[in-house]
Amino acid sequence: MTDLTPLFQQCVEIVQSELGGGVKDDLDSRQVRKLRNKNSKNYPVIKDTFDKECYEFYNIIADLNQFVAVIKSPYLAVNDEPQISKSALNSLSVDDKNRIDEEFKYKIQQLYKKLSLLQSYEAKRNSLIPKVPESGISSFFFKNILDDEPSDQRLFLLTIGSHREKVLTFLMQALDSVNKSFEVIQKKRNSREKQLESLNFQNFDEDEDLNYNEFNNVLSPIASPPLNTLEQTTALEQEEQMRQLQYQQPQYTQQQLSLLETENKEFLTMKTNQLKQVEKVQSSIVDIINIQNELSFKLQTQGEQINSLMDNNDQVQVDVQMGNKTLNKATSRNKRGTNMIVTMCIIMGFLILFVDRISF
Amino acid sequence: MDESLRGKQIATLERMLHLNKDGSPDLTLASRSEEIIWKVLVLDTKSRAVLSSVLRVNDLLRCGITVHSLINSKRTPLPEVPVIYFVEPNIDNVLQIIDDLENDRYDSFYINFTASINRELLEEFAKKVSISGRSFKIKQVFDQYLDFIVTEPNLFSLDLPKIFTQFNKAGTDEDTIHSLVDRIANGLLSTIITLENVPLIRAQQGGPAEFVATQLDLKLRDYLSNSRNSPNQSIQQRPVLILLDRNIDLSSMFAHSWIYQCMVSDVFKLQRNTIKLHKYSKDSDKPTLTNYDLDPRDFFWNKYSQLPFPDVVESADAELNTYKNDAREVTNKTGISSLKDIDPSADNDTANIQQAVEKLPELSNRKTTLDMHMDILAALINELQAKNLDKFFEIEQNANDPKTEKEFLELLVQEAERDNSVDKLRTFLILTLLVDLPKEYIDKVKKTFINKYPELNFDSLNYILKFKEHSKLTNISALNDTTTQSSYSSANNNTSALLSGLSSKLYGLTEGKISGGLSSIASKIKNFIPEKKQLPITSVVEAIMDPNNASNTSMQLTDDYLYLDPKARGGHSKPPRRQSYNESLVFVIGGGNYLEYQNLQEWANQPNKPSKKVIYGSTDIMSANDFLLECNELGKSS
Repeated sequence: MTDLTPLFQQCVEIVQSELGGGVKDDLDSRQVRKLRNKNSKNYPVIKDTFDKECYEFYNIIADLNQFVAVIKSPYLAVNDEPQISKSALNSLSVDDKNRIDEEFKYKIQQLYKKLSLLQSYEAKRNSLIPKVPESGISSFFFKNILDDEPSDQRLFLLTIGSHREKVLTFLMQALDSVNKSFEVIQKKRNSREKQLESLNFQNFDEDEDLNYNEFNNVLSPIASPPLNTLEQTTALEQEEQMRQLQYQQPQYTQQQLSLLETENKEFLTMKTNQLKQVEKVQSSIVDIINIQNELSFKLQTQGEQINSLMDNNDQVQVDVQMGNKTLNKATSRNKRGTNMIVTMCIIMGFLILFVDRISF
Repeated sequence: MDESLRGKQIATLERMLHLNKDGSPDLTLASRSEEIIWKVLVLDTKSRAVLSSVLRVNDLLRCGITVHSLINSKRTPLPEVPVIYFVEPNIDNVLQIIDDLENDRYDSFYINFTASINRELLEEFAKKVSISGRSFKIKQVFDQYLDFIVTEPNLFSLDLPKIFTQFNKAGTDEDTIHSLVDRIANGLLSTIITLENVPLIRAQQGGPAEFVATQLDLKLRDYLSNSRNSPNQSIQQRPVLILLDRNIDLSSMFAHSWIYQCMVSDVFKLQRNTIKLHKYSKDSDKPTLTNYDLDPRDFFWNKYSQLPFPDVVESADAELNTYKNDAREVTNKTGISSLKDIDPSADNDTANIQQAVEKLPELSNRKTTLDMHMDILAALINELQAKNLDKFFEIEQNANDPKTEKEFLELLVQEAERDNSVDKLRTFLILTLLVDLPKEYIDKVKKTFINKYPELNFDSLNYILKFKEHSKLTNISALNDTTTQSSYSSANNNTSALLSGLSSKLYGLTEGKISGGLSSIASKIKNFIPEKKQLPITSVVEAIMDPNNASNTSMQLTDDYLYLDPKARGGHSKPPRRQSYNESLVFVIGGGNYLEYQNLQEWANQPNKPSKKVIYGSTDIMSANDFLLECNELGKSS
């Protein structure tokens, strides 16, 4: 592509200088805006701070991106020794990193909230646009008189609505990408720290970290079952190192030998203790699972029993209703019957009396 | 960066949308704070065709374009928003821009022309701008040199219809020819500038190719001598631009093909990366129309569009299975599948769910692409069966075999489910072109045609017969005779395992709509898997690019070609040298098709040789039916 702008500007200047006073003075932006405000009836302008806020939003996102890029390397750097000197400039301690995590997440949440506010504002503004009248004789006539195309103002409102909608989608995409990039480095850091913990577990050389490691070692076997292969390879490496060490320095004094032996015994007891704890934990987990299974089974049977109880209940209710009905029928029939008998008796009594009277 | 022509065009377009600044055009990455982020894009019809073939609305949004509209439509003023114009450099567009400027429709104006704007128009534009008094609003004016349409990575078209008709009609006057040649040369200039490497020109003599070549040479010299255009890259080897006339091979324009991409463009419509399907249902006579858009990142199309049809069906099935496996894997990970998941302190669960959430959009995209292609394949199978297209393909491949004449006669009287008279005519035209048919045979066929299909237009047949006589005199058809023997075979032996599964898979794909006819198609496929042949155009390209391996007849032919070098000082027309090239740009004046494109790409990417880069283009990429209509017109006028 070729940039014709300088040539173009040249032409404009030449024309202006040639035509001299016959041309209006070149209006600058302020004058154009004044002209525009005068004719504001023709140019509908929505007076709100939407554009400014969107630009600010974008700048915040850009700043966040730069921040992520800048802290990426110190954030991912891993410290081997816990007592690192605080004066080291480019490294971040674990506390710093956690704080960065929290604050970043908080900031992102705020941005999401702001974006949703902007979206609801747009939705409300759009709902205020009057809809085209759909039915009615008057609109039929109007439709014939007016243009087929929508009116200028309506077109403007529609266009600016879709423009703003696209702007908000764009901002959402940008925010998502910042969020994702931060999550990526967060994940990396977490996985690296996990690997490091498992390595500490195998680290024989650091005597002063024994206490720290013992505390760690109780938890880490549970936390890192997928790193079994890693442990195995590091164990192999350690064995190699030991063997090399032994080969290089074959002569130890008796004292050093006994010292090494006691150390070995301590490590061995530590390991067996850990193994026992692990086994205990495993068996308790298995017990818990079994109990859970039994509980669920019992719950299931209870559920079935309750269901059958309820069924029975319903059945009983139905039976009782039927029974009531038949009883009622029976009583009414009986009533009729007794009524009849009683009246018959009375009539017969009167008849006998009457016959008796007559016969006398 | 994607080094193909399409990649370069996308890069230029995105750079333009980024206001011709350096830096990543994808503004959602927000790598730094920008002053101008959201813009409006105004196009005209030609530039919209260019843009929509390669960029979608999402891509535009990522570059910050919120609203796009046509320059001639009613546009609403957006006084606070900057605007990018991407239009052709003609007077109407310029007047429209001036009108927008005077009415203060937008905040700042960035103007990009698709091709080079000529000096008078630029001055006129500047004059009007300065009269309006708002020249400070015009921030940039650029020539982008992008008036060509790229669909496949190495395929481009200038979108100039009916060139073949106009060049071969007797009544075209010199002025029209001159303006057409000029337009073609402009389009080629844009392509060359986008590729950023000035080629050597070889052109076929005695036709429009020669004119275009000389014009292009002049334009390139002008462009290079302009001090503001500095060509870099003198270290790279220069490519060769091969200009050919359509007369070199008419049979490939009519051919039926077995390759997925060619079939789609033949049976349906494939233009500007949009496929227009028509599906016939059993109830109605009228077809239902569906449109599909092909994204440049469509993984299925990029991988399989150049394969023959049965392979594509197989691969579609394989991809569907891979997708199902992946989906199952992802959903399994979020459930409890092993003891370790009960462990509370591990965050494997959340990690797995996070992974699933990340993979979901990618998986659903894959599914939509696969669904689209399955639909297309099913529709293709329907059409194949209804029109017996496989028979035509067979006849065309075996054109030299004397039995095919009889076969064709039988086929001619056969009825098909849907009207395939045009396909029959096409096959007949190919037979006429490739083989010297006896006169009685031609008359017999003509009579049968007229009896059976009285409404069919036979002007094209007359034209082709005349063309054949003419070409016998000028010996162009020599290429066709030799190429049928110089086929390079690549083992394409499909085993029966492939084909026995094929019919059941096809059945499954189309949801049981096709019944017994499918097994017959499958068996025919089995009987006939074609050897790969070289089209005449490929042998010409081979002769120019790789003279050591080409056949003698094609070498003799191409030695006559014109040789021009825009960078050489002094006179043109040095004697041609036999030199091998690694990159080339092949341009056919009068029309191109996907079959030649695929053939060239196959030749360029042969498995045991170093790969060459071949870009194929034409004045218009058209389907066989369109070319048939042009031949009809030619036959009518002569």
